[in-house]
Amino acid sequence: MTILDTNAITPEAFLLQLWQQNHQAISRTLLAAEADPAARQDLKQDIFMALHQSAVRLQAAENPRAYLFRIMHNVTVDHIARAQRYKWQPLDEHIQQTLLDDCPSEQVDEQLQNQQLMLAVQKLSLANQQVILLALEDLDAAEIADILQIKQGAVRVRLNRAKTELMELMQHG
Amino acid sequence: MADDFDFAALAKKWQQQTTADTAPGAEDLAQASRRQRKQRALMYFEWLSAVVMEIAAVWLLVAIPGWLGYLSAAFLMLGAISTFYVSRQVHRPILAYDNWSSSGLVQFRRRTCQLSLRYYRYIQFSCAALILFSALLWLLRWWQLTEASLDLLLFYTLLVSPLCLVGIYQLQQKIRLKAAELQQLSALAKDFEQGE
Repeated sequence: MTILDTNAITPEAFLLQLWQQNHQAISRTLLAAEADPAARQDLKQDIFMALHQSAVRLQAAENPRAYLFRIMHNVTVDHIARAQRYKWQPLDEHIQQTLLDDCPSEQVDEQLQNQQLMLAVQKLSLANQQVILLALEDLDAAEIADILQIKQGAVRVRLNRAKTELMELMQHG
Repeated sequence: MADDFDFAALAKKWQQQTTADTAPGAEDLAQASRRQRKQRALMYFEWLSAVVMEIAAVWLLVAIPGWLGYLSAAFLMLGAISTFYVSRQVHRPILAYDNWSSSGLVQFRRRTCQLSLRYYRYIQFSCAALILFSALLWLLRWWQLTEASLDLLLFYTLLVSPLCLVGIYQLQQKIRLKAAELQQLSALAKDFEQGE
């Protein structure tokens, strides 16, 4: 990942660059958290708005990526809590198309496996889903603890529990 | 059990998933700025209405001395304080998402949901009390214990009581929704508590 020069640009330009760099991770998180495309679009805008509001602090943060993930996860949790949308829904056709559907035919199996993984992540309980989504994006325990504002020990416990739940979901649906 | 899981391979597979969503651009930035300005304006408007209510309360104290004036001023003061409190303690911090842990956020939503539920029940109770008051006025007139004017009786019977009944019904709908929301929030909060 490119290291951003935090002093040379405005907070807003910094935010846009950081979003561009983490764009795919953000989209994957949104796909896992919200099945409804319209609600997902709203959620994305809310996240962008929250980040924009904290743009100055984001630029000054020690680990801007972790800071971005914290805001993203908190807005997502708030969205779920307020909208009572925490009901698992199957992947609709739109999501299946959103997960790039222009791959060659030999990659169809792989795409199906990816969809199975996405389905399993969607079905996880919210606390487990959060920690799994962060771990899947290669964030370490210290970073996850910083993002979720919990102790590293709690991260390990929750991650272990989440992995077990994910494995069961992938094996038995 | 989870240790047998090849999580690194799964993470690699996960990160290979690409999506067709577009990243925000200058237009989104402008839109976010507009929304932020709007939110800030809304907050200042709330503060302004709180100040207006306080000025009105002081004016009532001076202009209408006596119990009626004191009572009205007290209500206005309470309204001003609660408007300012809600604006400062609820609207502002909830937007600062970087200050929260997810678990804290859910707890906060649960608490506000519980408060809303209590508030709805309190209003419902007040409406029921007003209907009871209308009935009492009729009884007092029936037993000739006091001389309540017919205009007052008609006002309470034909306007206040039906409005209260509608209010009780609509609040009941809101209570039902809030109770479901509270149940969901409690489940979420419990879910977070288990991992900590």
